[in-house]
Amino acid sequence: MEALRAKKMRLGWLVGGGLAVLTVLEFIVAISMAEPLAPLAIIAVLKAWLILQYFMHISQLWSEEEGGH
Amino acid sequence: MTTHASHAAHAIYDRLAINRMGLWLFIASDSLVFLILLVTRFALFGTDRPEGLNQTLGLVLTSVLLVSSLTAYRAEASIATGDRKGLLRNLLLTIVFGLMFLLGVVGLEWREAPHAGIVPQEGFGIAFFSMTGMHAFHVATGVILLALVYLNARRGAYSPNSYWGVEAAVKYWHFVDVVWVFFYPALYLI
Repeated sequence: MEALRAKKMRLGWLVGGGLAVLTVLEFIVAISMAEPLAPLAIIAVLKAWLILQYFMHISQLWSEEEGGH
Repeated sequence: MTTHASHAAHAIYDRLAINRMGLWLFIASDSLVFLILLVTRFALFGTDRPEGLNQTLGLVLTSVLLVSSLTAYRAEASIATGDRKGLLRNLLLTIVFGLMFLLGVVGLEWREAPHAGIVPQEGFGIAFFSMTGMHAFHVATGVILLALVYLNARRGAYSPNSYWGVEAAVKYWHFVDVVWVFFYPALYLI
């Protein structure tokens, strides 16, 4: 249980770090580019995917065993 | 495992799968409301936005909501691995961050925006107040839901084998965060 908890918490920090980096990146893109729509859209999709995949566990919908409790 | 126990385990799993499917269907239908708001913003105003929005506040609010998603994830991970104190601590942190976000939007941003010419009755303000208003409403309901889960958790209602209430509230909270992931650049950055 302890090992599983440590693994989950590590994953949380990694995803949180990724979201932080992408947020800073989108801010820099927005202030430095004249037409930032396309890169900002890509960054937003990447951030949403991180949350959906790792925080919301969307894959549970098509995976039989994952996350059963 | 006996046949009876195996059937019971399957019944519990089937119920969880149905609960999850129901929640995802709700999230999908609710997403359409936000999608319509997002499309309307671009249809009406293209890639224009007023200069007066407080960029620093927007970035701080976004960071607060992202951190709240991390604490919400940690709350679910805690109960999944039997850490009830971790569940309570992280639920409380998520509620506090949610309230900070609400205070920032409704208490600060909505007060400042009219001074920059962004008013709810006209122009970009229509999109700005509609989008942040609908999102803030969902944040408020998310905070209420998390508070109810927190009270239940204090009474010991959840265990590593049964924590659907926590999972549902946390998934809803992440959904609110995903919406802001698209609203933040659409309102502040583009």
